Amino acid sequence: MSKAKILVVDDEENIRFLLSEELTDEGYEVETAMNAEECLQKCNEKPFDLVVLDIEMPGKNGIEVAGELRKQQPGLKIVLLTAYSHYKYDLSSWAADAYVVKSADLTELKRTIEELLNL
Amino acid sequence: MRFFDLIMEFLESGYESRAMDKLAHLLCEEVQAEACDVFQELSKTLWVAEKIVSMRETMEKYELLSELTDVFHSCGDPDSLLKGTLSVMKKALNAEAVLYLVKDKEGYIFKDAEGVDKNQLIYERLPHNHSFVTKVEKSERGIVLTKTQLDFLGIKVKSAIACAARLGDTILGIIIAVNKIAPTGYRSRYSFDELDLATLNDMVKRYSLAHTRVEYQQSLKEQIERLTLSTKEYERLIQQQQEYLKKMDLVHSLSNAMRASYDLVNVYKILLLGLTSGRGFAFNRALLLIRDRKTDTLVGKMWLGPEDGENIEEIWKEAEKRAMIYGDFSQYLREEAMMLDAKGGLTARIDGRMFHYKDHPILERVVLRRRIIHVTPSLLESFEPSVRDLVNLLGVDEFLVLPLVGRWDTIGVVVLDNKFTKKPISEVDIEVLRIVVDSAGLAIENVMNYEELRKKTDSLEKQKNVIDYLHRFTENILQNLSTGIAVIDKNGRILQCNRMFSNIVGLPQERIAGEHYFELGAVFQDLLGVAMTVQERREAVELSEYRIEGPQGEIFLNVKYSPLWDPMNESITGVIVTLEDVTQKVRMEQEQKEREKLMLLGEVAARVAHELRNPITVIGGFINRARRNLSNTQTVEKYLDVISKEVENLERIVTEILEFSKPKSILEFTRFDMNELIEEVVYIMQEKAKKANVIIETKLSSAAEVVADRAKLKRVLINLVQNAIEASPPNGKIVVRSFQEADRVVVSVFNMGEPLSDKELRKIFTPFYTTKTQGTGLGLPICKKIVEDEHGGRIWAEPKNNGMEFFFEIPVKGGKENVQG
Repeated sequence: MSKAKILVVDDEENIRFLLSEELTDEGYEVETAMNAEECLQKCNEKPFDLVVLDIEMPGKNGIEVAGELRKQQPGLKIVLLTAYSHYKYDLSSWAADAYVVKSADLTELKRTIEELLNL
Repeated sequence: MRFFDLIMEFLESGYESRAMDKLAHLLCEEVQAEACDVFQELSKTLWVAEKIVSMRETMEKYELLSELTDVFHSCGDPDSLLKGTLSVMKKALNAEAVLYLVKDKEGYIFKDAEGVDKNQLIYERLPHNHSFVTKVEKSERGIVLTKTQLDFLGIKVKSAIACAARLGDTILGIIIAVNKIAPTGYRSRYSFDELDLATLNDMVKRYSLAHTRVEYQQSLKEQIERLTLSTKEYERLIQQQQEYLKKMDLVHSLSNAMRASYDLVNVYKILLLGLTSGRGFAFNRALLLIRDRKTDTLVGKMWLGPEDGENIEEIWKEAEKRAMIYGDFSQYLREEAMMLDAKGGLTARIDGRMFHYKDHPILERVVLRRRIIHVTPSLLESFEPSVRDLVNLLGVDEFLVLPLVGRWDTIGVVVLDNKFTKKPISEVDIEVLRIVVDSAGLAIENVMNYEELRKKTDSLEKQKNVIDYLHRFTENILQNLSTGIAVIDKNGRILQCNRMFSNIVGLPQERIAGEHYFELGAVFQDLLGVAMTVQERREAVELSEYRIEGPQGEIFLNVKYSPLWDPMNESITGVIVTLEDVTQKVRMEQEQKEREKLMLLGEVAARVAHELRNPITVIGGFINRARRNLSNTQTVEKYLDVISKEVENLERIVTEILEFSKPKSILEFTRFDMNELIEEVVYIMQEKAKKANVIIETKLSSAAEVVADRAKLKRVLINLVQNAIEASPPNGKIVVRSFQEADRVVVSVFNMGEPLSDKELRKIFTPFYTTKTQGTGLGLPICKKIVEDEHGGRIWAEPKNNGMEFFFEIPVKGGKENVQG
C-alpha cells in the first residue's frame, strides 16, 4: 500500500515544519504550501489524499480554500486547523471533513487524519 | 216918535233903506224947536243904534262861529273839515272864493277851494321863495291885498286876504280869500279890510286847531286799528309758535328716543312711530326706504300705519291710550318700538323692494339733491307716468317725500301721507320735518356705523379668540415639551420658561420667570452665562452632553442658545435657551461603550490567545519531537533553534501587548523638526524598501517644528512606512509628505497598495486586527495611542484612486518641553 499524500497549508513556517515532520513520521507523504494560491496550485499539479488547512491566513482563508478544493476534487479529505478553540462561524457550512484545534499535542490531528484516510 | 221908527227901519233895512237920510231931513225940520232935546234924543238913539248894530254883528259872528263849530264837530276827516271850513269862511267873509294851499317839503300845493275850480288855477304849486308865500309867512296876522293880481289864479282879483294856518311854529298851509262881495250885488269899491283879515285870522286859527284835532283823531284811530290788527297777528303768531314749539318738542323727543337705541330696526321703528303717532306728527302712514349705493336703489325697510280704512279710529284710539300712559314721549317711543312688530302689515308689501332713484323725478331730487318734496295732485300730473311706482304703492295723490341725511350724504328716504284722514300737509310740518329727518338721518347713520363697528368688534373678538386659542395651543405645547425652554433678555433676566425647564432647574416656574439667571444657583450660572456671549457673537451656540450636578443628581444636557431677533430692527433682544435632557441617552451610550469595551476585550483576548497559540503549538510540538529524538543531537538542535525563535516571537508579542495596554507612559517632549525626523526614518527604511523593490519619495514643507516626544513619533513613522512597504506592490512608490495646517503639522504616507474597504478601514485601528502574515495587529493601534492619546492629535486613513494614504497630525505645541533637546 502506497503512502497517503498529505498537503499541509499554513502561513507560519514553523507550523509547516512541525506538521510535515510529524506526519512524515506517521508514514505519510507530506508536502507544504504557505498560502491559498500555492495550495491550489499544488493540488492541481498532483493528487493529494488529504489537505490540512490553517484557517487564519492572509489572503484567502482556509475556509474559502476548502470550498474551492471541494468543488474541484470532491473526494479530497480536508482537515481545518485553527488557533481558536471555538469558532464564531457556522461549522456545518464548512466544506471540510473535520476540524482540529491547534495544539502542541498533535495526537488528535494524527488520529483524525488516520480515521479519514482509513474510511 | 218918527225918529225912532226911522232908526228901526235903518236898523232893519240897513244903510240901503235911506232911513238915515229921512232921519237927517226930519232932524233939520225940527232942529230949531227942540234942538237940545232932539240931539239928546238923537245921541241916545245913535247909542242904541250902535248897540243894536254891534249886537247884530255879534249875533252874526256867533252864528258863523256856531256854524264853524258845527263843521268842526261833524267833520271826522281832514278833507271834509277843510271843505266845511272853506265853505263857512267864504260865507263869513262874503268872499268870491276861498282857497287852501297846503305846505309840503317843496313849497305849497293847492289842496282845496270853495268858489273856484281847480282848473281855474294857472299852477297848483307855489315854491318856497314865491313872493306871495314869503309875504304871508312873514306876517303874523296875514296880509290884505287890494288892487293886486295873484299870478297863480286865473280869476280877476280885486282884493284878497291871506293868512297862514299855524300850529305853534309850524305852518300847515295858507288860506286865501279872494274878492269881497257886497251884500246886494258886486261893488268895486267894496274890498277886504283889516276887519275881514281879523275874522279870517280867527277862523284860520280855529281851523288849525280843528285840523290838528282831526288829524290827531285820525291817527289815533289808525293806531287803534293797527294795534287791533297786531294783537290778532300776535295771537296768531303765538299760536303758531306754540304749535312749532310743540313740534320741536316732538323732534327733540324723537331724536332722543332714536339716539337711545343701538339697534337699527328699533331706530327705524322709533322714527316711524314718531311720525305716525297721534302724540307725534300724526301722519297716517310712514314708509322708510334705505339707500343702497351699490345698486343705486332705495330698498324698502318698514312701513307703519293702518293697512286699510277698517277700524282706524279704534286703532288710533288704542294707540293714543298707550301713548298717554307715558309722561315722556321719548320713553313711549322707545317702549312702543320694543313691543311693535313691524314685520307684517304694510311692511310686508315693501320689505326688500327696490326703487331705482336715478332718473326718478321725485326720488332722484330727494336722494341726490336732498330736497323735501311735497307731492300734490298738480305736481303728480306733471310727473306722470314716471312716478307711477310710488303712486300705485301709496294710493294717494298728496304725500311728502323726505331725505334722511347723514353726515355726508342721503342714507334713505321717508314717505309720509294722510291716506285716511285726507288732512292736507302743512308748511309748518314740512319745516319741522326738515329737522326731524336731519337728526333721524344722523341717528340712523350712527347706528349703522355702530352696527358695523360691532360687527368688526365681533370679528376682532373672534380673531382674538383664535389668537388666544393659538396662544394657549402653543403655550400648551411649549409647556409640555420634553425640552426645557427659557427666554433670557439682554440683561440676563428670564422672561419665560416652560415646565421642563423648571423641572431641570428644580424651581417652580413662577420663581424663575422675571428673575435674573444668577438666582438659579451656581450650577446654572455658568450654563446660562453662555447666553450672554451668544448675544455678543450674534450666532447660535450648541453644547452637547453638558454635564451638570443638578438638584436631582448628575444630568447631561444638550444645550442650544439661539439669538432672539427683533424682526423690526434686527437687533438681538434676548436668547432662547433650550435644554434637552440627554442623561438617559448618555447613560445608554456609556453602557454601550462599556459593553463594546467588554466585547473588544473578549476579542482582544481571543486574538492574544490566537497569537500565542501558534508559537506555543510550535514550541510544544518540537519539544515533543526533541524528546522522542533525543539521540539525534543534530535534529534536536534544529528543533531547539525553532523553539528559541518562537520564544523570541512570544516575547515580542508580549512586549507589544504590554506596550499597548500600558497606561500613558511618561513622555519626553522636545522641540524638533518633523522633516528631519521623516528624513531619518526614510533613511532607516530604505534598505527594507529596496528589498521589496519599492521607492520612497518625500515632499516636505519648509518648516515643521513641533514640541513632541520624538522617539514615540519616530515609532509611528517607522510603523507607517513599514506598513506602506508591506502593502506596496513590486515597483511601487511610497510618498511621505509633511505640511502645516493652522497650528498643526500633518504627515502623510502614501502607498500604491490596494485601497482598503470601508469595513477594513473601520477595523484597522483596533488591536490585533491584521491583514499581514507577520504582526500582532497592534502596530496601528499603538500609533493611534501615541498620536491621539499622548499628543492630542489625530490619525486616519484615506483610500485614494491608486492606493492608500495614512495621515497623522499633531499640534505644533503638543505639550510643554520637559526635556532639553
